[in-house]
Amino acid sequence: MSNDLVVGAVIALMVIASVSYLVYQRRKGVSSCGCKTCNCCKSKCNVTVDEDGCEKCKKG
Amino acid sequence: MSLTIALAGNPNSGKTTMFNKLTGANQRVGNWPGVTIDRKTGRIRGTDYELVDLPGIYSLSPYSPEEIVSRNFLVNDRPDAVINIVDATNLERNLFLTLQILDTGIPTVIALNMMDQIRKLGDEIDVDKLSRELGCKVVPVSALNAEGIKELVAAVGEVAESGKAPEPLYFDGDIEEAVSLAKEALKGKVPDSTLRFNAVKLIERDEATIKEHPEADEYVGRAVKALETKKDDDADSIIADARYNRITDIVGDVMKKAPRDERGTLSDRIDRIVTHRIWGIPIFIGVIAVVFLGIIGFAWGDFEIVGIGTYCTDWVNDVFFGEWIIPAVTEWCEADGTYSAVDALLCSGIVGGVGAVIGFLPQMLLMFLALCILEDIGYMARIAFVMDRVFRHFALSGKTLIPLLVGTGCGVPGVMASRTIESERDRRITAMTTTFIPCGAKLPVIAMITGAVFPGNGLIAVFCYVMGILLVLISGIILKKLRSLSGTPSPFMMELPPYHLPSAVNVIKGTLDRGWAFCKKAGTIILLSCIILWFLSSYTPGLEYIGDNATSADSILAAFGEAVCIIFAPLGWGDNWELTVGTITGLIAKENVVATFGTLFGIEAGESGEGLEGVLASMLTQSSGLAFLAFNLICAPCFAAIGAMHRELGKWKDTAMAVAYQCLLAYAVALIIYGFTSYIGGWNSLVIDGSVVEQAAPIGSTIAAVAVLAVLAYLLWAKDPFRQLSGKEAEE
Repeated sequence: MSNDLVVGAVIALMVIASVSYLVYQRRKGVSSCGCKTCNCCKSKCNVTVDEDGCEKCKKG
Repeated sequence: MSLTIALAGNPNSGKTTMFNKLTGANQRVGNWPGVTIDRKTGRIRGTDYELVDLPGIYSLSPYSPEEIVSRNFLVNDRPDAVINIVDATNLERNLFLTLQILDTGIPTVIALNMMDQIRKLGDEIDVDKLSRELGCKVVPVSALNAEGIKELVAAVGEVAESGKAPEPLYFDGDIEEAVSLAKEALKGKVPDSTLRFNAVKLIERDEATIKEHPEADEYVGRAVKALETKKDDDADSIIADARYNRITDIVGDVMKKAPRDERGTLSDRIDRIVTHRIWGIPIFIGVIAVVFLGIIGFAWGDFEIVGIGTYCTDWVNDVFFGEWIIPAVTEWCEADGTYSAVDALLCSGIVGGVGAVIGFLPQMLLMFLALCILEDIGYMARIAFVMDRVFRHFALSGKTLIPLLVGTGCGVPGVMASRTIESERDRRITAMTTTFIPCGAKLPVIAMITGAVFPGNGLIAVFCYVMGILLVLISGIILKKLRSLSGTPSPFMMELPPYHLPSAVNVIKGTLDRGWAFCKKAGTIILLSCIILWFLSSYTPGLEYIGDNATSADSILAAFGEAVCIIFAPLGWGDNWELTVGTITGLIAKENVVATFGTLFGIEAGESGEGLEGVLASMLTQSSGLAFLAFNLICAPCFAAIGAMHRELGKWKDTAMAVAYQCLLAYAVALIIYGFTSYIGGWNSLVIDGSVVEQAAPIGSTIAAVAVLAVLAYLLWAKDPFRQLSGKEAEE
């Protein structure tokens, strides 16, 4: 039974990490396919490059 | 003080490379024009200046959306200074934009880029004299070698802080008189700082300026007409001619060109072969074939060459997962003497599903490497050039090729790259069809089906790319017959960058970036999908756990798959609900097709552990396998790409129509493939437990395929009802 708990905890951690990363990407404006492209409406956005060289979307 | 600096210049003049050097960012740099389609901002290292990288433009009279982005920023947002990147090897053409930027009255510094190339060619440019002629600072730089960057930052800081506008270049008497009249008409209607720019644009008959100031246009109308009569030309050409005359004088004064080899540069000589009107396309298909035969391999009868990618993928699947990971994880899960639902979720759901996708990573990395090399040496731009002739014949713009080339990596930026097309109708058709070209995510599907029904035959991958291009062309003809999408193709003008040896940094970075993006996708979207799929395949509709028996017909997934799989019966795979489920889960991400089979069958699938491909070979004949592959490559792309399509098309109704068109076309193509190829010897048999079992001829599918082919032929050859609205007839 204890083994199942550990396996379950590992799976839960993987799910939390995946969902958190997807939410983080989404907030940065990165598409779910991982492409660094602006995700919001083209007429009201521009892409900003942060200090790490990563792109994020900024509503204009 | 925080200042905003704009980076403007012609397409492919090195703006993004300069942006990366100035800000330390890692923006994608492509050796073809149109890589930047949105403005991007960053901070210049060591300063608090904000740098805005603008899409490349040839003039400030824009036509396409990304050119409008550049003009609006310069004219309306008024940055504190402009760094105008000028390609020194194409000084005349680049200075055409420079003269217009000087008209805006924004403090300007010219970064004379590619000076290393000038030295290599033996040319000389008198930078001080050029600076005096243009009335602004000129800094010689090489963005690629990071030469002159410090001097450029110092110069732009000085110019921006002084706020001193450059002196515009005045025209000769008649034109300048008309400009003065336009300034009078616009006085008080536009800020004084942009008065001259707007006045010149008004004389040039710039559509945007006329629309904004119709009364001023009326005021100068007579003067413009008089100027046109006197010079016997239209106003736009008169201004362009005056600018080019001035540029010719300037360049003649400041530049000394070394004698050139009569045969042209090495790039010219290569281009004579590579972009040849007859050999160009066979060479392009040959290049793609060499890439895929090298990665996947080639098999014909008993003759077989194993591709490097196939060899690596087999090792990852058989040894890395088969002998190391799966036994270790299974042993750990069974350490307490039981194999519960959570253990099954980890072993079959997660390791099986995600592992099946990761197994194709070596093949994908090699494919990305090949694409990065082809891009970096400058061959991708040649593909666009060579295919332009074909595309124009099918009423599509050669500009459609740029999104297709971008789409080989990922459909999302591919669809977004359709913004570079001026004509809205062409842009919409391109956004709808870009995903027909296999993106990186579809490669594992191609590799898996090829491995299952055409073992080790890389020509299937070549077929997929050629099919994608053909379907874009066919769609061009069919869709142009709709009223909302009719029209003549936009003109296509693209500068071919000179060939150069691939930069190791660019190629390795490009390959690893794409590979890393693939791994991140496997660890997020694919992982979550596998967990859901495992749950749906291991529980009954009454939520009763039925064990790690994926093929059980009692599961929720089986119930759903069996209800839907009848739709695909005419395509040859309607008997297997697993294949139907794989097609549907591919909508989340195309790699999910592979992940679904990994979850349902396991990497070491089959009773004798022959692997996924062995199981698929017992479900798909060569005909139905090719039909399955074609359907999955052409039908609706992943949700991310559908979202990108929606952003370009604007309305959900149009997006739904586009997705419906893609699915219908995919069904038609798959039906034609299955209906006709089943009669090829050996193409209609399954491999069950090592024995070949011939299947009944699909007569019904063949009859349906003949009907579908007739409809397609009618749509292709029927008269275009809107041609007279846009074609040559209208002009006559």
